[in-house]
Amino acid sequence: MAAVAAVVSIGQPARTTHVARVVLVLGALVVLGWLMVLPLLAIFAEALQHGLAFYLHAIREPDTLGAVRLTLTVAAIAVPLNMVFGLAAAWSMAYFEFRGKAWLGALIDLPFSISPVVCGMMLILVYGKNGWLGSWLEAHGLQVIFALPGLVLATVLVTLPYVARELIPLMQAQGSDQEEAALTLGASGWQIFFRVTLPRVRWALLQGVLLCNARAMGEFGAVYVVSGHLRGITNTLPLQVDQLSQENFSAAFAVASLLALLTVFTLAIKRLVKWRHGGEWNAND
Amino acid sequence: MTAMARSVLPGFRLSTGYTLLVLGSCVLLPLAALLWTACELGPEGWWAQIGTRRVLASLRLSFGAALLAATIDAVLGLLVAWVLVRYRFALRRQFDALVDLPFALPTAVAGISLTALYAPNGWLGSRLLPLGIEVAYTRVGVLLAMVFVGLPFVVRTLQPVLESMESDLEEAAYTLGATSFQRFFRVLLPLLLPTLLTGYALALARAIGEYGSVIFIAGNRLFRTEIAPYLIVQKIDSQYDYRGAAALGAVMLASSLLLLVAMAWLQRWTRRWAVVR
Amino acid sequence: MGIEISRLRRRFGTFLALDDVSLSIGDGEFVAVLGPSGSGKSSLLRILAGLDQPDAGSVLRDGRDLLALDARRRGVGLVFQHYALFPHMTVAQNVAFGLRVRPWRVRPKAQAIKATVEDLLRRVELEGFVDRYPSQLSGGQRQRVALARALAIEPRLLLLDEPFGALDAQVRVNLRGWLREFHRSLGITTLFVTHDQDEALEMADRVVVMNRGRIEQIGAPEQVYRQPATPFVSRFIARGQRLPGEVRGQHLHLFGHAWRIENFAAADAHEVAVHVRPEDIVPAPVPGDGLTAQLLNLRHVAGSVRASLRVESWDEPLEAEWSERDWARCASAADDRLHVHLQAVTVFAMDRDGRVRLRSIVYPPYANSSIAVGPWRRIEA
Repeated sequence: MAAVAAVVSIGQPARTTHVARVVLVLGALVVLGWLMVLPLLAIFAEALQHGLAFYLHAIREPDTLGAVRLTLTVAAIAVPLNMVFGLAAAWSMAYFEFRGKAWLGALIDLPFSISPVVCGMMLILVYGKNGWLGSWLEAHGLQVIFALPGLVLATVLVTLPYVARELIPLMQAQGSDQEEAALTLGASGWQIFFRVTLPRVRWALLQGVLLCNARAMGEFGAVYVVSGHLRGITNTLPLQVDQLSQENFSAAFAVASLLALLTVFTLAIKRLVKWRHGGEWNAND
Repeated sequence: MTAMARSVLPGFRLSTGYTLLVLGSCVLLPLAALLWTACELGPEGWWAQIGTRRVLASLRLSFGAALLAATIDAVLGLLVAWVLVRYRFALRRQFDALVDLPFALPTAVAGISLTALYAPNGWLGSRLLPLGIEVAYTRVGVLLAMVFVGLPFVVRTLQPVLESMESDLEEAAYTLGATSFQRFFRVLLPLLLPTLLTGYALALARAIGEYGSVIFIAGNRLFRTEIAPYLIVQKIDSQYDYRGAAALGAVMLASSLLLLVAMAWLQRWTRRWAVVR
Repeated sequence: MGIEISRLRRRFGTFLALDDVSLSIGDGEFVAVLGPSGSGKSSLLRILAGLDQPDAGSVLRDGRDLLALDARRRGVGLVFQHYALFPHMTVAQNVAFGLRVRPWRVRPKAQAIKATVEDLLRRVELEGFVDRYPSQLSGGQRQRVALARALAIEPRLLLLDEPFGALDAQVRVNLRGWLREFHRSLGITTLFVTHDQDEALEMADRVVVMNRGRIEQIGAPEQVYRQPATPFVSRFIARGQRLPGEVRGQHLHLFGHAWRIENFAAADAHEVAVHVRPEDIVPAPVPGDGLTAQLLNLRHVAGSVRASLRVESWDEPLEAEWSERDWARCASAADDRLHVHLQAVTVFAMDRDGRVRLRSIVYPPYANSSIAVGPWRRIEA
């Protein structure tokens, strides 16, 4: 690996010997290569195993196209919802002191520590046919579980903290000096938000939205539970991958490669944004 | 929640209200429903659901493998974060970007990819098989998938702290005569420990709850490689047993929260020196 | 004996941090390295501590090569500007660190370490603080813990990086005297780096003035103040101000006067700089004698008077500093016009490379209104 030949330690000389440095770098590269690079390569290798024609045929299958449509629809609703939620939560958490603030912060993070499967099940218990609100919703002709609203709800719940977690540390670190300055200059609340706050956090917001979107399009466990995975009706792309994997592994990988492309795209944009505008937020990753 | 907003900025009621509304309908209400359903069972009904050999085996596997995976993540994550922050080498940025892969890659995709790699006829599996190592459809596979999903949590929590760490302390230890091992174990590691624990807790929570990445490679063999989230799905999907699922879900939720509280306490203990006068 | 630094050079990219630096330090000496930020003083310190290696040059201690020794084995105590105390260790653990990390063969017994730590903490007047964490101490206390920690390894050379840089003005002044006395009682060769002129002049046996990676002057505090070797030292240490003087032929021309200069070789003087210190611009004792000056503004600061003056018709205002008594003497000149004397003027002659070749200090006697030019001194660059 030529990369390792040119290892340079930043900082002081003689902190570690050159040999130790090369061993450490090699070790890290092996870990990343083994855990990250291999699985990613495997997806595309498997997908293209039977040639391009098979690949194109597999992703043009009507059920798959339906899954693509549904996935895009769910993300198009869930991601903006979470963006608004993230901004509201960050505004509240960063600029105000109030009783129970620590609890609110913990609550925002909570979906991170609940299994997606449990998330889905909780929603069934509330919005399902026999759930708390199920019969009332059904009486009003609204089916949530095993339908689009359920998918959206599950996706929102699982990806809830993504935007907020990106924004809160940044806005807390930046402080509210500029917002207060705008206030003394006569700006209204919405003017402050759109002209001062939003431009300051836009790159972090983009980062959060990207991750939220990737997670929303790829969510499996929670969506699996609430969707009933009805082929062609409530199957999102990840569910389609799951079903295909039991029938035709290569077709499953063809569909999976679409999602993997989305992932690579997300990571590339994220990297580009961090590289270009990394100095604008130091409070978090 | 009393508004004790001391800030002069507007929008406290709107932003906090909206936040609470969303949290209430998406998180608190479903959470209450879960706990309510689990409580309705009563202690005996609850034990009837949980105390079966199958469920206990799955809980043991979920928590045991997750604890082990988070520990492995802590070690590997420290190595990766250290190398990414401290050394400069070709393709460093690209490797750094790759760390986020488990965040962004759909879990089902990761699951079938790992399975394809480690299956007996897979690229790695076929090479490991002659050595007597079976990964796919064993507990090792479960562990591997959990290590995969947890690694970025450790790396991403450590990175900013490592970056902001002054080289002063290491240099001070150096001029006082400490060897590189002493500098690492006596100065750096104790300082990184609270952050490492944060990353550990995040990786642990993710590993316990993970579904998509694990079920494919686990193979879901009775008593051996069934994880707890898989059993929940089974109860809902094929048996329509929402009470059983809720009982198991409540146990998982409570245990993860308990673990997180314990981690938070441990973390505070490791930071006892940071008291403000 | 002592420490012999010769011809050190250190380059960071295109930036020359140390440019041919040579210096010898005697045993037990207390030396201040003084310079603005970026002058190379910290680079010198880091090289002596073993945290950095020079591109060229050597450092000998008692005739042995110090650079060949790893920082761990150098026996150099370094006190960092921001102390670099280990935040997760108590005061006692911090001080004991250097002893506890020794190889077991040369590591003192636990009891001996404890005794050493107690003794050091008594010396730095922190007996009651053994079990505190650094976050529970004030800045001055942290400073002294850092000092005790560096002394625990019984260093043969003590290096202090801006020892008072992070402290309040009040604490800073108190600690100066304390550290001076402390050094006297220990007798360890000590080098400290600072950008504060008062600090360097007040504490050190010898002052090394650095600028842009070069040593401008080495000398006793009195000497660098009274006889600056370069215009930089004059400006930086003595607040020397440039006057519109020039040398033509064998004469120095200043404010319409021309004075003959002895031993002046035109080849040595590509450029001439004439400096005066604020306290050397004094009100003329006899009204009407000396140079005319217009008072631009006046401030009374802690027992002295600071004035901005326009002397003769020169555009650039000059700063003068007088005692209240001097000022009272000429305050009778009711309006803002007065006469001043320049008591001492320093003249530097630089060659084409900007190096000072000749320096003369002029003490103009005004009573009979003729100025005598002092003897030129050749400056060894």
